[in-house]
Amino acid sequence: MLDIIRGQIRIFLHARTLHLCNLSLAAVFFLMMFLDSGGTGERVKPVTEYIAGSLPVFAGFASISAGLTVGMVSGADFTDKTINHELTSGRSRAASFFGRAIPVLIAGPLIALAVTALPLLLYGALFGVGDVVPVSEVVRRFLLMLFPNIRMTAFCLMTVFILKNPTASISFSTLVMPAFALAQVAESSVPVIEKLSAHPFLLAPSGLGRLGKFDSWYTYDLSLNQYFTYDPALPASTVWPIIVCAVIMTAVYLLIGYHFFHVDDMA
Amino acid sequence: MKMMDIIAVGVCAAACGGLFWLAGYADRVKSTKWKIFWLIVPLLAIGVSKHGLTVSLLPLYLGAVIAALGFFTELSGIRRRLAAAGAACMLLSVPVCLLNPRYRAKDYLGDFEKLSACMREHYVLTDHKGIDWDALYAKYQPKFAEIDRTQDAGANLLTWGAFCGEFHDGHVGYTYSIKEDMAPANQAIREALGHDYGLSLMRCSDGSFAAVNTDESLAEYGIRNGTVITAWDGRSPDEVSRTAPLYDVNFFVYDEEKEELTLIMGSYPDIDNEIFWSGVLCAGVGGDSVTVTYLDENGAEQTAVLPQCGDYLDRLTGTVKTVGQSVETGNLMWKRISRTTACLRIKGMSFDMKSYNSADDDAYDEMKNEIRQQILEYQQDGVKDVIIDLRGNEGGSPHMVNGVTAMFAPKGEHYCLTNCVWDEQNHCWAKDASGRYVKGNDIVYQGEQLLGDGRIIVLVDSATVSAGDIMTKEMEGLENVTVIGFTEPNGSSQAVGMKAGECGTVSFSNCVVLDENGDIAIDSGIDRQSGDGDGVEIIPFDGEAIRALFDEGRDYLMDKAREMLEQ
Repeated sequence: MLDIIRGQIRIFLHARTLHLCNLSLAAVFFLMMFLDSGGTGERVKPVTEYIAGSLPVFAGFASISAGLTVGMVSGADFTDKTINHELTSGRSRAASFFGRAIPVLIAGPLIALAVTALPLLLYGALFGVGDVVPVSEVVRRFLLMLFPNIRMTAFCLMTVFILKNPTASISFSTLVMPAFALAQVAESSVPVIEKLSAHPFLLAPSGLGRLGKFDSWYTYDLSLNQYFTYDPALPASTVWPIIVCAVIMTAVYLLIGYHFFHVDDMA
Repeated sequence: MKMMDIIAVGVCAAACGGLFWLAGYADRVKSTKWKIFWLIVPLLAIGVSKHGLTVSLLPLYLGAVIAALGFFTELSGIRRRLAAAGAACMLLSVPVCLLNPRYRAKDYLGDFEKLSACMREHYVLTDHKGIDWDALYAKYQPKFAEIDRTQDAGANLLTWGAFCGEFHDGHVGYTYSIKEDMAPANQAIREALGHDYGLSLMRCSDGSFAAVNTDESLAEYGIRNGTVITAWDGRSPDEVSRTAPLYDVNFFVYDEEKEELTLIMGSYPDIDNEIFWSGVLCAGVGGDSVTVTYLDENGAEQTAVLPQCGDYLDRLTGTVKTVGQSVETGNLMWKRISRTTACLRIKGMSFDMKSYNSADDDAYDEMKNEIRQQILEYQQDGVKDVIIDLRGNEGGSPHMVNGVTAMFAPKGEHYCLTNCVWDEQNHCWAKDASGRYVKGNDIVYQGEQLLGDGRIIVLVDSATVSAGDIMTKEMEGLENVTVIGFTEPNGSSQAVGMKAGECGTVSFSNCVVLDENGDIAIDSGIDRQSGDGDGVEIIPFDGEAIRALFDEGRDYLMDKAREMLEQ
């Protein structure tokens, strides 16, 4: 199994397509902020203002990285029959499965959060950090968002091992997760999303959105200038169910994925 | 039990039945691809009910998990037992839901805690109105705790109405967001308003209380519109009114068929408006009959025992609508009143979405062109004077106020209001060392004096609120304008913020608006005197007004305005 893990790590480090996709995503985020305020000459918003207002959207789109990582790294081993050769050469199914699951469950969420964090760090270095929300709270939110990211990565891994095809994982991560990210913005106008968002532990994208969201309040003056205040606090009663559900569902997805892989014929 | 929950239990139990059959089929065909269906049941259990998760349906969720365990085995016998066990567990949801008193219970107490905490943090008139948040919380928290226990939607609305009434702020209110709460809320209001005894009471300008909107059956007692009522069940009408359950309570009645609000009353920011309406709730207070003391045509005191004949809500609605009537036409529509007078009706300060969301000077150019065009046409046809009907104006954009007022104001620059400064560091409205809000830039407009030497009369009432208050304040300061009404306008001009809870939404004054002295503009303070009533010419509410309104069906204020212009 260690060999498989080392092999997966090598693929992470040398998969140029994956790096390009992630860098492109990060560049898009940076451009969004730059064109919105940094480079247009209007009021320059500090990076904490973007974090306070848009972190769930960034994180939701960044979770595309997790799906891409699973698809391109683990899923590719099905298309090029690497796994078939491994099994016929005597490796156990458990070693093949968990040898891929462990590194991707670590690397996938970290890559997703890196894709979110890097453009924010760069923008902050160029245009200022600000004090809209405390930096310590931002770091805490990033660490908490690892859990729903791990859950989503495990789900993508499960789909790859069930379908033995990376397409499902890539499709899911590029279509469904961004849709949920956008739905976080429109949560009050989409009844189904509103109901699901009432229990953020239900779905990983909802949990990701809730952990990244800073409760806000806005007011305005006669000239219609808007002023936002953000509450950095996140109740423990919100956090713990999301974490516990993420851990349980990660285990469930791995169990289901392994169960399929354990008994299925290899094509 | 809610229909969707019953459907969810039924569908999931049926799915278990399907799995029971599928277990045998999968075993017969020796195929493992069917195992994916065992994962569908948990999705159904969570997804089917549109009302969301609830603890009462825990047996349903557990049953789904039990049934889903069949995924991990190929043995049809075990799969069938799991499917059966899952279905049995799911069906246990039904008695649990039926017997659980907290089944789909609404979190009325949680809403109060959350919404009142938000108000406490963001309400901008706390000091101005002397609000004691601790005392309010101590008074109302036990009431909401009881409402949460009894799940009484009607009591929830009334208690919120009482809570909001404590602020004496036309911008503080509560509306429910759950459709099924409408009927019990309306019923609670109907019961709280009391019985109908065939009349309403209104306070006259001389301090007496007169019968209005009287039923024909009262003629046998000699009680008609305008009859002075001196006592109600032995007490003064004023005293009775103040003890009515809905006195100083913000409430509204929603007509579900017409999808509109049919009645709104509440606490009044200005004490003079409260006094004006102080008799109207009296006429619903009583048992199966009331003893009414009144003055007959000869001035002698008489007594009558009036039986109750239904609910007071409908008669009260009719009384309020008659006293608060306005020109029946659309917003920003004109009506020719006479050869020399035209009336512009303004129901709300909103022209279109684009202009409403803009603070640009030219945002209302299209509206101004329309008004300008209409005035020029009228002037060519002999119109000299204009009546602007602001009665019942619900407010909106202060920039539209400036756009309209500019048409009629004398040439030159005129002051509107003053912005408050936002403290970027502390994320709040800036205050100086003495605790006063810090003045920002003034909002001004340029007058066009379209009417030349023509005169303008503005009609207001106690329901003229928010931007309607602002327009009243601007207009009463202009030399060619007279503002009249039975009452002053509402007296609430701070802009509004809202916070939604599970069961309803609360709105409150959230954005500071100042006058040129840096004081809170218009809104009444602890003295309950609003800042836009001093220039209003109060038309006496007397016998003449009562006869015109209730006997002859005339718009008395409009007639008064015409009289003033003809003089």
